[in-house]
Amino acid sequence: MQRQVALIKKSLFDQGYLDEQFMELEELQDDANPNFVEEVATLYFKDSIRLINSIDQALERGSFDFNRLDNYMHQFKGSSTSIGASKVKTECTMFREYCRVGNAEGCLRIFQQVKKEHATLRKKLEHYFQLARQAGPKETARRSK
Amino acid sequence: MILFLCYITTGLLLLIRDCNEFLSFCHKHIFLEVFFAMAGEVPNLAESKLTALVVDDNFVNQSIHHKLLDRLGIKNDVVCNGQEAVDVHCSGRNYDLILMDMDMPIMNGIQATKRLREMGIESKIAGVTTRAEEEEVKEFMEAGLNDFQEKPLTISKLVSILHNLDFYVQA
Repeated sequence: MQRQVALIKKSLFDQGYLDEQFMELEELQDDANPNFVEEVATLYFKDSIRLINSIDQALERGSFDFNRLDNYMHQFKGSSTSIGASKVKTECTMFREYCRVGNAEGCLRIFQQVKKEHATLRKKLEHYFQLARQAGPKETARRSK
Repeated sequence: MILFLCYITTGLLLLIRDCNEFLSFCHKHIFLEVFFAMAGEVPNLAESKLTALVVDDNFVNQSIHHKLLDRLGIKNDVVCNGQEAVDVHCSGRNYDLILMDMDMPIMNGIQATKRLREMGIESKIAGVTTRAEEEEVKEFMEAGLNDFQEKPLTISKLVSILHNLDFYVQA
């Protein structure tokens, strides 16, 4: 079970879904907070879903307030960076570039990618955390060497 | 690298033994704690009784920064924007270190830093933000920061802040 958890985590890094920042968070786990990373990830997905809904509503209205969209995405990118969500962060950066040049079509297209990567990461992390909980705290509290 | 660090450690310990004046100036405890942190170990600064305030509107960052400070043994509070940071100081609270985000609603980090300095708050303020353009950093520093780090914050970046800001162990 622990080996399975380790392999899943390795694949998340190898496939570029997560970066070094995720390992930094794992280093903060201890006996007092054995599920710290999962708690932070839960906060992230709750907050990011709110931001996705706000951006969706803004885009559906058809009024492209690029400053407002960029502000939303700045927050989204910040959170994604903080938990090590590498692919999501990359898509957020591209969205902000389209906002900067006022490209509405580009924003719409890239936002679909943002949502796709976000949903994929959420599914993969939920699966990882579920297995990690079953395996016990040792696997999630140690940094991969 | 390890041999080099051991050599440096030995040299420093000899210097500290022989130079009492250097020792008192450098406040050995915090210096060695930071040194060992740079060598890969996490220092515990609980004995120093440092206090900190996290100022950030993002719940993810609040949680991470709070935990980072906890890990270093630094008691800390969290507020959601610059206005709350000002309000908490108006209520009489004071902190050794403030970790100040830049982009926040109601009152941003630049405005809050300026306001705190106007109030005579002398706490060390470290700006922590994703914005890293030279002009933006300059404006933030000129508001009254003592140090700046780009997000995401990590243990090593936080230790670097503490080292840069010369935090000493209180007797």
